[in-house]
Amino acid sequence: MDKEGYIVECRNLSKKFGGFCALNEINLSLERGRIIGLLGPNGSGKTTLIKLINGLLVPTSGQILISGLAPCPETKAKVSYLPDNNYLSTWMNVNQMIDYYGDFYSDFDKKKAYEMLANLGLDAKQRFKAMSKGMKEKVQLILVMSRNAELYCLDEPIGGVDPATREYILKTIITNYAEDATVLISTHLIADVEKVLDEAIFIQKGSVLRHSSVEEIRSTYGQSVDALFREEFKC
Amino acid sequence: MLKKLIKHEWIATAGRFGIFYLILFAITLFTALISLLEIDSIVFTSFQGFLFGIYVITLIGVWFCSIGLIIVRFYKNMVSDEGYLTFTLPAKVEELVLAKFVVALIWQLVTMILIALSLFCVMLAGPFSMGAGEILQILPDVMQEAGWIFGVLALCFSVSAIYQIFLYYLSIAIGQLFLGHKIIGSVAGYCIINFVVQMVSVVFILVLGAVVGFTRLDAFMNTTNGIALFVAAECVLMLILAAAEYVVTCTLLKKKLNLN
Amino acid sequence: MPWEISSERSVYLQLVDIIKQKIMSGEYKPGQRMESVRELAAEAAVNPNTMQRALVELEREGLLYTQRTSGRFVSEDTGLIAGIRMTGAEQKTRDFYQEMVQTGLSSKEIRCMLDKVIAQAESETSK
Repeated sequence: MDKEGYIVECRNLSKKFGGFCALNEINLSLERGRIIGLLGPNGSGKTTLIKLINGLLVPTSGQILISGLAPCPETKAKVSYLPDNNYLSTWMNVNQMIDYYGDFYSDFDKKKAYEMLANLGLDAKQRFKAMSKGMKEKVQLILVMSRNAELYCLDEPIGGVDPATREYILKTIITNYAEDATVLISTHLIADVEKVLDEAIFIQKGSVLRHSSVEEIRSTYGQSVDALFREEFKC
Repeated sequence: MLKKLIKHEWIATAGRFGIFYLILFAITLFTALISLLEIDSIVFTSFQGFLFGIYVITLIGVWFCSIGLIIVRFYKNMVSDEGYLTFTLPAKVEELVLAKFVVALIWQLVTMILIALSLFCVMLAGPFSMGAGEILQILPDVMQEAGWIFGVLALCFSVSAIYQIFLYYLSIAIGQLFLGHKIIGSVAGYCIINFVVQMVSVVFILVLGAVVGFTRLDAFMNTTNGIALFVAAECVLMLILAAAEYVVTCTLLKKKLNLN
Repeated sequence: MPWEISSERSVYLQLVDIIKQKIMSGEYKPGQRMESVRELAAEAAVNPNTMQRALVELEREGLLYTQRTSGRFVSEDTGLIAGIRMTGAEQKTRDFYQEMVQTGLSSKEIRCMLDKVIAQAESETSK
């Protein structure tokens, strides 16, 4: 796998579910060392694309390459994924989950994870069953960001949280992603996230409408990415 | 990677199986002790009989629970929300399924051995007791004469367990194709596979009979050689089917995974 | 001073302004060691690459300097800082003057208004 070149490449990538076309001939190249927003309304194909990156779905046609390889155990070792839902085994406690991560991912930094958990005031012996939804989300984020991955895929990391938690999540992301790694944030809450982004990808109904730098959008259009997004998605 | 998967599979399931085995141990002990008492009273003898009934029900319960645990474990860890973590581990799907199978098989075998042991203990102490000493005297001779029967039974049981486990896994893999109806889909899948396998077996026997002649087949089946050959063929067929089920399960989970 | 950054304009330019302000106001003292890019970006809740660009621009202007092994520091050139402070202040004063002219005040009225406001402010702080 080359450490140069794009971290993610989509070539005429399509995914159909029966008759429904979730992604339509997507062509994308994501560079390393960027925080990239995958922005679009619900049902636009964001989650489908992220699942394809993580090997949870296979393309109907076209190619998807992670650091030059089709999704496989090797690429999974380089990608850290935060899904939209709670995926932690309820019977485990935090210590056990950290051991689990540490065992399977050689890039997992246990020390960092424990530090971040201590900052939250969390008892490492607590079982996930006994945690509030908000706490579970924070723990999942900590586990994902404690890996020194080449790509972080965060699916709706700030959906349905209060402003204080949102601030915590964004700060955690900014401070912890590995050097030269790319963070792909998929969300429909653009206003809350846009100051953190390098680039924005607008996706609607399975097609990429735009992929540009956010500063470029602000200078060219004189408005926020959120405002431009609302304009372009009016239909 | 496979070793790590097996290790964590072990950690995840040991707790619950441990509880069942403890229950089994407790009820065995209790039943055996009660059976040892020889109180001359109709009420007490009735109670002993009743207790023995409960004991048998518990045994059956433990057996079914152990199968249930295996199914639930696979379902929860692979095709429910935990699947998001499982399928993004840096491991091949073949390894994921194999690790679960290995641990599941070990549990099945352990459960069976423990149930057999439990029955043995209770029989020793209980209503059908002949006295421990007498049994231990006869045992070596029994073993020499018909020990091979135990061997064959163990083999058949193991092969059947292997086949069954992959059958459950494949049913779940089929069930998860139907978003929102995973469990019904799994049950349907299970029934369909069973049906297909039965049909194939029937067709096979019919064809064999037609080729060889039914009377000859019937006569042959009544000889020791016939039975032995039949059992061997069954085992081989089950192993082949198990392998096929494994391959199809992995293929479905690789190409048609439907996590939501 | 909190990092008040609007998403409607270039974040990079806003960062340059805000950090400059913090240096002018003395919040960042001359010779003070700056936090890492990541830490600053997290504090401001902005993209680290954009923060880096802003810091590089301030280095170009001489308000910050980097020592390869020890990190980034605020310039100790108090003359430079004062100079930039004055330039900024002069621009703001020009803008203020234009605004006052727009409302219809004459230069004499503006000067009187300024004296009055300054006298009031000074007597309040001495209480």
